[in-house]
Amino acid sequence: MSNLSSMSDQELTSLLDQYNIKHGPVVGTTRKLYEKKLLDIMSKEKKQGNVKKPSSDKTYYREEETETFFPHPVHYNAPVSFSDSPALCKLHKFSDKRPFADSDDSTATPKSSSPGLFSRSRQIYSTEATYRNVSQSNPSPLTSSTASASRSAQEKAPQGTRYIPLWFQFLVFLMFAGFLYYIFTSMETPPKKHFEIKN
Amino acid sequence: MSSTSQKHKEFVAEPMGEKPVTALAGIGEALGGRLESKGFDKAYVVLGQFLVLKKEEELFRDWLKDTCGANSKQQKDCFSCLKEWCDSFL
Repeated sequence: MSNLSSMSDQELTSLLDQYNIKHGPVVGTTRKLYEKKLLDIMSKEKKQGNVKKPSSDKTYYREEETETFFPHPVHYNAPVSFSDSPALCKLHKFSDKRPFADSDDSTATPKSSSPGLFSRSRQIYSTEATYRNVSQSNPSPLTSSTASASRSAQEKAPQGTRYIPLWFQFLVFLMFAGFLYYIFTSMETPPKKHFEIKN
Repeated sequence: MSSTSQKHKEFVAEPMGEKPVTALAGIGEALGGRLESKGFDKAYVVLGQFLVLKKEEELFRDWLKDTCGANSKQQKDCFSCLKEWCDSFL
C-alpha cells in the first residue's frame, strides 16, 4: 500500500475496486492516472483519520463555547420578543457551522428557555462532534482560537472577546429602539399641527 | 454562440484516419506538442486512450489534464469531440 508503483496491475485494480473508483483496465498509459487517484483518496482518508482525534478533544471545548454563545439569545429574548431565528443566526455566524443550523433551529426554537437551550446545545454539539469528524479541518483553527478565548472569557467575567461584540450588539439594539421611539413620537406631533391648521 | 467549434464539427464529420492530434477540438499547438512528446502523436492514439478509460468523462479529463496540462474548457472540448465521434463511427 505504501508504494503503489511497485504493485502489479492486478493489485491496483483491486485497490481501485476497494475505493469504488470508476476505472478501466490498468495499462501502461492509464497506470499513472490510477496511481494518482489512489494516492489522493488515501491521503484524504489519512486526513480524516487525523481530524478525528483532535476534534474529539475540541468538541469538549465546543461545549464550553456554547455556554458563552447562549447569553446572546437570552439577552435578545428578554427585552423585546425578537424571534429566536435571528439570534440563532448570529450564533451560527459566530460558530460558523451552517450545516448544523437546521438541527439547532429545529430543536432549539420550540422552547425558548435558556436552561433548556443549554442542555440541548450540549446534546446537539455532542452529535456534531461526529459531524465534525467528517468535515474538513477548516473549522478546527477557528475552534482552537475561539476555544481559548471562550475559556478566558468564562474565567474572567467582564473582559473577553465574546463580550465586546455582545455590548456592541446591545448598543445597536438600543439605538434601533431609540430610533423607533423617535419615529413614534415624531408621528404624534404632526397630527396636532394638522388639527391646528384645520382650526 | 455555437456550443461546438468549427474544429469539432470538422472532426466528427468523418473518420479520423491519420489525422494528427492537433485536429482534435481543444487541442492546439502547445497541447498537441506535449501529447506528441508522450507518444500520442495521432488522434487515434488519443482515441485509444479514451476508449481504454471506458469513455468516462472524469477519467479522460483527469488524464488529459495530467498528460498535457489541458484546462477545463480544453478538456471538455476534447472529450465531447471524441465522444461524438464515437457515437457516430464506433
